[in-house]
Amino acid sequence: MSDGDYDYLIKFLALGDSGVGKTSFLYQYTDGNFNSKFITTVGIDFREKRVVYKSNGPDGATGRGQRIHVQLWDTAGQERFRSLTTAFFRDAMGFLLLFDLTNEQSFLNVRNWMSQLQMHAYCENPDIVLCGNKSDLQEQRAVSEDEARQLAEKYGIPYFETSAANGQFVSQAVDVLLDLIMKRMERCVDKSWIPDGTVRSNGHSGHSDITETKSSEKGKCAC
Amino acid sequence: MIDLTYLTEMEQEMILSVLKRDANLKKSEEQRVKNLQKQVHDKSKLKYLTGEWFYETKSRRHRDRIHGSDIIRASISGKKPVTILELSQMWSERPSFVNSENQDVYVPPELSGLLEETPEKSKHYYREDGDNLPKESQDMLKRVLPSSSKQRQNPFNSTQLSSATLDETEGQLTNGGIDPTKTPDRGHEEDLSLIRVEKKQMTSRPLSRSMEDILSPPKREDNKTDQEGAIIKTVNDVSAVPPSSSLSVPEQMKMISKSVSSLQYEKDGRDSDSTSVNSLIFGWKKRTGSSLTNLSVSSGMASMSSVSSSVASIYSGLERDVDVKGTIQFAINYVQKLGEFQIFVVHCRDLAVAEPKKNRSDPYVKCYLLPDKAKMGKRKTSVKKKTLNPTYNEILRFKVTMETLKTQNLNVSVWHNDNFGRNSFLGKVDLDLSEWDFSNTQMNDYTLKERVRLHKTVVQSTKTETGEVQIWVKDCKNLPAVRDMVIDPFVKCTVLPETSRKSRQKTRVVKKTVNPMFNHTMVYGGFLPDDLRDACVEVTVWDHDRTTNHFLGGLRLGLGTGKCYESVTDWMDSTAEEAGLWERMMQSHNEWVEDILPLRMLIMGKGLSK
Repeated sequence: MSDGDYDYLIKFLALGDSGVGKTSFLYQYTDGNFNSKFITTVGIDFREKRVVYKSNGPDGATGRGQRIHVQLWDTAGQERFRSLTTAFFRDAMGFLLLFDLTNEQSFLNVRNWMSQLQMHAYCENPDIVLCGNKSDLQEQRAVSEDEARQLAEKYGIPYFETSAANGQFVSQAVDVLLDLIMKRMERCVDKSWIPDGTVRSNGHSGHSDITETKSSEKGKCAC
Repeated sequence: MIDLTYLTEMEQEMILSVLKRDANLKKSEEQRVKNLQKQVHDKSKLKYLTGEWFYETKSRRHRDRIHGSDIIRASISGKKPVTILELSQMWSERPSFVNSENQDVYVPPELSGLLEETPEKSKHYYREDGDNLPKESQDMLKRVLPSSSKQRQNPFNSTQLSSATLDETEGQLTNGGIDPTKTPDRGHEEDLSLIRVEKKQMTSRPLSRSMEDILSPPKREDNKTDQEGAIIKTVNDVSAVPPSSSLSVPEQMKMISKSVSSLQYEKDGRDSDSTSVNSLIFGWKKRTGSSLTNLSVSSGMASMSSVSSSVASIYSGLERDVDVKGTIQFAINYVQKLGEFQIFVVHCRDLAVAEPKKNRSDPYVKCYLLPDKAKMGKRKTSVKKKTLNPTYNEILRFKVTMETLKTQNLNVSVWHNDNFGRNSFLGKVDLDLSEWDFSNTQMNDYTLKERVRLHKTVVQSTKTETGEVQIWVKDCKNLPAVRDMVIDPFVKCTVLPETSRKSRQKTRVVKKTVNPMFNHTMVYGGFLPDDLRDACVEVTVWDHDRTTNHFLGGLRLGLGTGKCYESVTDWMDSTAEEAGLWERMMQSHNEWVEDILPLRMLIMGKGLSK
């Protein structure tokens, strides 16, 4: 799959408490599948996907799609692996912070995950998308949409209620994160004289049009 | 480098294979970047395409250009990091920012917070000539490494530190950067708690390592989920014999007993909380042709009960004996909002020396809620090395309702962490929570108490023909009150390998006491002197509870050779003390030999049932 035949390599990292659905979320995103069996991630893993990104930004030129190779790091939520997974925070350009809508503690821990990110990521205000996962389990919901949105607003990050099981808002969440990165990248390069942190990313710009290409359709790469 | 010794071999392999995939990706990316650098001349466009924009920003914060994957790879392979001087010399050739795989790993100061906290330990990560370190990182080291004399406030009493209670230990992350208005000192404490959390992980020994020895590792495939599935399967399979197993019963028994005995040795494994050993019962292999079949005994029977893992690891009896001394200071608190019971372990003072040869103890504190209705298992502090006066300042938590909590007994015990898992008991304190005033969140001192003991004696009288083994069960002290603080204990006795009902004898039930006196003598005849080598008297203490009996502990008096008539068995597992008593008996005919022995958990055979 990694044949170098793409325009950008973008690295994301999924983090959150154990059992919130990070692995399932990424698997749903890359393969469109869901496996309900819980197999805890051993330390760290990653998945890859090739997508096409179109934007009206300076690099977009005449709206030609950019081929993006996305590397999605999947971290173990278990405390046991914490020192290991934290070492990978620095390598990611964007983060998918997940909690479980049916587990209040995982939502309460979002605050702690945020501070971990602020400490260990490549910069103090990395691009993050907050996802309340397992939205399909309505009867077991323990976190209200309101309070989750409030928290996301407080941090100035987008919020999605996703379901790795039925796919709801999974690709949208990742697409929004991708869009944030691409926009930031342009800002970084064009306005590099502006100190870091004063230009905050604040949500979906609505300009981009992201479509996916399944690697099998490309024909060239052998995953 | 990060201490990743807690990872099992299997886990290390899996992680390394993930890193390998990443390395491949990085390699092709590096090639792509090289090509781009030749083709594209627009500087800013180049920055987008190559990802340089990211690494530039990153380097403002993380001074090095090392990837997390490189740190982990180096940590697993054990390569030593180099000094900055050497690194700068190496970097005179422009390295690729994409792929730093071939470079030695230098640990930047920002990551030194993830290393172990003690100054002695840090020498292993930086060269002895630590003076070569730039001043900033030396300062960072000092800032990050705590001084043991730092006194921590009682988190339960200070509302301003209430966020701190959420930050410490077991399930939580530290709250490092959320509130920038806090004082720098506060920031220091946050670093401390981060280190403490990391350190705890590092000193743990995972349970699954012992499992690997027994069961062959799953095939390594690229599909990660299969590997993980296999591992989970093996852990679960060991605890209960699968009916479809292709192994014969004796082999299964060997496997399970081996795994259970290694469970007992690996008691410090932090993950053992989540893997439950549901049943220690397995098939019993009947011996034939033994001269012990003609024992003259009489008894009734009671049913067997399985031992849950939470109780099983309290006093396993494999530890060496130490005279308990000293005190422990802790506070307890219930947080209604979180539904959480918290134990703030402050320190221990004047502990006993567990390893006399090295004149040291490496103590840690373990907590249980008994009788553990909610099956929550144990909570443990970190291990403090080489001290008889350890300071912890750690919070141990249980998610439990107040209702349940009030029916429980808090068992706090101190142990010496031995490298080989034969942890020594250093003392304990029991608090009856049904009588506890929860508004008392003060840090209180408690004297450490001894643990469960069984007092018994054995005698043997022999003639040239067969003789008798007589067992005089005197009394028990400090039995664990597993059932709602009230137990009705009695003692059962049997001689292995004889498993028929004839072999079993028991005392009467003494009601409502943890210190029952029995003064009951049991006699077993038909022994030839040589038979004593291959026999084992199994004495077990039970709690009689209406229709069932709860196992409280037991001992096996035998030579502990692990063999009975040349066959390997699991019940010839007498501890040194138990074997010592038996030997003394064998050597002194017609005389009583007496001892006080600690009760331990035993693997029980299916044959002992109603």
